[in-house]
Amino acid sequence: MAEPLIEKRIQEIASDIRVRGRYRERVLAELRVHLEDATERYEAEGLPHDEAVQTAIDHLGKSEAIGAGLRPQQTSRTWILAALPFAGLAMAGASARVANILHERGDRLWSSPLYTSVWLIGWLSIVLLCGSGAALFVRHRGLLARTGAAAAALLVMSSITLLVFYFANDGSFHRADPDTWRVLAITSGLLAIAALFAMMRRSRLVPLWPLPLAAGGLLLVAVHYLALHTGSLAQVGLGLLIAAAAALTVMLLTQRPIA
Amino acid sequence: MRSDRLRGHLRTLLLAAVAAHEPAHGYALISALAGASDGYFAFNEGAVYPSLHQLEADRMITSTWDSSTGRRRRVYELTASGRRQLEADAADWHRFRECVESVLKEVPWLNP
Repeated sequence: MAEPLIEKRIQEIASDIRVRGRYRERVLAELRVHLEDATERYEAEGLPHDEAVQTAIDHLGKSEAIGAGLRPQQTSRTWILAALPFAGLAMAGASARVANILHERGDRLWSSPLYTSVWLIGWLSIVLLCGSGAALFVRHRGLLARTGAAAAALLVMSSITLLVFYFANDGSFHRADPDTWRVLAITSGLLAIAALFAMMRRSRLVPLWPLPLAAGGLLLVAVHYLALHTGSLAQVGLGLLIAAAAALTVMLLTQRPIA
Repeated sequence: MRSDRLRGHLRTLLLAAVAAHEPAHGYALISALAGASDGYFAFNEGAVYPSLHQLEADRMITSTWDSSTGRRRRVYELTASGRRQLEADAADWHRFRECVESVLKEVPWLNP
């Protein structure tokens, strides 16, 4: 039979800790069995039952301390958040492919409502989904969360810089002058490096940050240059995907747990 | 002071406790640490679980449910990464202890 004092304490902790779903159930189950084990031990040492229960509860500590330590471990939420940038990327990639077909058909930005809608859906998908993902990620401390934050920052900045250059060139990625593109690509890469650095600092991706930062920056410069120079929307999407995957790999290989 | 010092070493102590007693549940690990230190490592017990979960998130340990003893408990085991981390932490700790002892030996009135 459940001990009422233990159940009362578990319910108090349940309302105090801000974790959800299966992880919440796991935490409460672990704490409940902990209190039951501790009670049995104190009883075996000679304490009366009620005193044993109270001692076990006292030794468990305040629920604020438990909750504060648990909050970063909301794995189920983190998995959902991790999907956001990639959902944005997938939607943007699909939009870019459709836009490319429409562009080849002769549709142009603003003059064709369909083409304009596809474009806006694609870019808004990246900015909104990746941006919201990044904003939520930085509140978490897990490996996946920090990696997601960096990847989201990478994607958002890549998208924004490419969008700016697209509009700056009369709604086209095609340009005959390679020198102009070279300057634009390097500038956009530097901008993205600065943004990525800021996001990494905020998401506590500090240990060994120069390596992923340098790798991410170089990748961005390369991808932007190739994407802008070759001038295909599908290639731009593919380039972003490759950059994100490479950056993720670098992050995973170089990260260290932060105590 | 002791509480702060313990907090800084909690991850290493938990890794060592898991390595020594795996598969073991949270309360068993806390009891093992208290027992091995003759009560010196007396933690705020509830705070141990977030540290265990953080170690699991960092893939240093894994956990599964176990009902073999009647109660359903989450039991923890060391991973290969956890073993490497513990080896590194232990080497670091031995070096640190040697250095502190060397410095303390230079104080004459501490070593009559």
